[in-house]
Amino acid sequence: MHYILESFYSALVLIGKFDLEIYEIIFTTLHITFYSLSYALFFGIITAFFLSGATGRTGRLLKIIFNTLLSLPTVTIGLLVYIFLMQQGPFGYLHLLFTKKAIIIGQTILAYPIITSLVTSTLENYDKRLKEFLLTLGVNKLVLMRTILWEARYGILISAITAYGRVISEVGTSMILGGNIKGYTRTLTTAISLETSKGSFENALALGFILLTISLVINIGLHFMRRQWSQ
Amino acid sequence: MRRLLSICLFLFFISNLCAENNMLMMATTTSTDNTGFLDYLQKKVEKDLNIKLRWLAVGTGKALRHGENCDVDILLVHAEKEEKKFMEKGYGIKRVQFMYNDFVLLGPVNDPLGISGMDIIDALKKIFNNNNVKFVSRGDESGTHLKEKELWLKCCKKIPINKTFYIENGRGMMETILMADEIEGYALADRSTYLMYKSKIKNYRLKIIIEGNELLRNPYSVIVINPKKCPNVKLKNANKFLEWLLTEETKKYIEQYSINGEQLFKIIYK
Repeated sequence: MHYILESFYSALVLIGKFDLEIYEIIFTTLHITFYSLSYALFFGIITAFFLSGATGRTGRLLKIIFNTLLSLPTVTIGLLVYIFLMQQGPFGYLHLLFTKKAIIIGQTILAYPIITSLVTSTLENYDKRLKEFLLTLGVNKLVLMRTILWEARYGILISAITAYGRVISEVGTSMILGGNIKGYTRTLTTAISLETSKGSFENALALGFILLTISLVINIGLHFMRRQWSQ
Repeated sequence: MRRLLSICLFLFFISNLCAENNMLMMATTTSTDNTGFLDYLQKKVEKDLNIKLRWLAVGTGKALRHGENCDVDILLVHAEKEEKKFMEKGYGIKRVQFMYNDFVLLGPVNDPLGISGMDIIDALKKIFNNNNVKFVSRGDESGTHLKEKELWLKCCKKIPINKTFYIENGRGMMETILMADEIEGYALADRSTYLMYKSKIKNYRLKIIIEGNELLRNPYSVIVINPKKCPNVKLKNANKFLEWLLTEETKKYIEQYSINGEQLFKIIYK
């Protein structure tokens, strides 16, 4: 109990002190999360469109594959991308390893199957009836896609929140691909694991509280967005 | 039948709660674990003393913290200053420096700064004043990191945080060596992890640039946790282990441990 209160207190101190390093860490985390989520949403929604329309054997197989990819361990993703990006690997000449971009690549791969799977199942619920209805109205494909997307917005939002939760809390990919470099690729989670390994448990917990607070703010924002939509 | 089953289940849970009497929990640094040294030591401990040696392999900073939190019975660490502080605060009752290995400065095979074989202090000065070649630091308050900070203070009066050449990666020894390998930079490492790296990585690109300086000595201590601070500490086993560690036979056994024919730890004879 003592520990928890103390760390809560030091979290407040950390934020209140306007310590540049902590803001840098928060900024890096948000930057990486924002880009990886955007890419994953873009590719995921496109893939979901195709998957929800695919009914044959290949469609079913692909859905199983995407559902399996949901359990990809973050460390494995990190290692796979690492092997591709290291200097002796095929993309070594790009010098992406130990940069923010490398983490973004890894986390996009992490979030992509989550968004694909969840959006696919949402679209499957809407797809048939709505599509037939719209087609009878004679709308073109672009309008069709836009309408379905709008109808599926809650599902997409839920998928984004789920993917966000996994991306912001993962440590394996960021650690391996970013290298936890101070002032550059250090994120909240890698900083937490570093503070833990230093033995400064209060600082580690404090960073955990900060991460949760950020998520709380984001989720409150999304909640109001949803309320707006439903009115 | 049902009653029998529930009794069995009950016993099963109870047996889990009972602490094992012949266990000895140690907090230690990653270098002793990564190199397989502890596995090697464990075999002999179990045979000679019938003590089950278990360990948490973490950085020295965290190992000391585990000692303060009474998570372990004994420590095997390498950071003299911090160890002394730990003893002064009364967390340990016995501290014995009994073996050492050494730190080495690693760098790219082509040694871009041309510091191979120089004195460690002069070499660090040269690194300190350059802008091209990176230096990768552990940055995790581990024994190696503390040593590195000590050396920076000796050579250049300050630790080069905020300098462009200085990369703090905040990870374990092996990850730090691999990062230095990847970005072709310099790094301070303990010899045992370097040997491990050399034996594991096929096309390794780092070599030892500087070694054998008195400043680079890396002594390891065993600390027995004070039962006054931690009543649950297994003092009897800890003492038994320490006594056993200091026998001639065990010392010889430790000196026999090697990776690819290179001896890892040397005994401190007083």
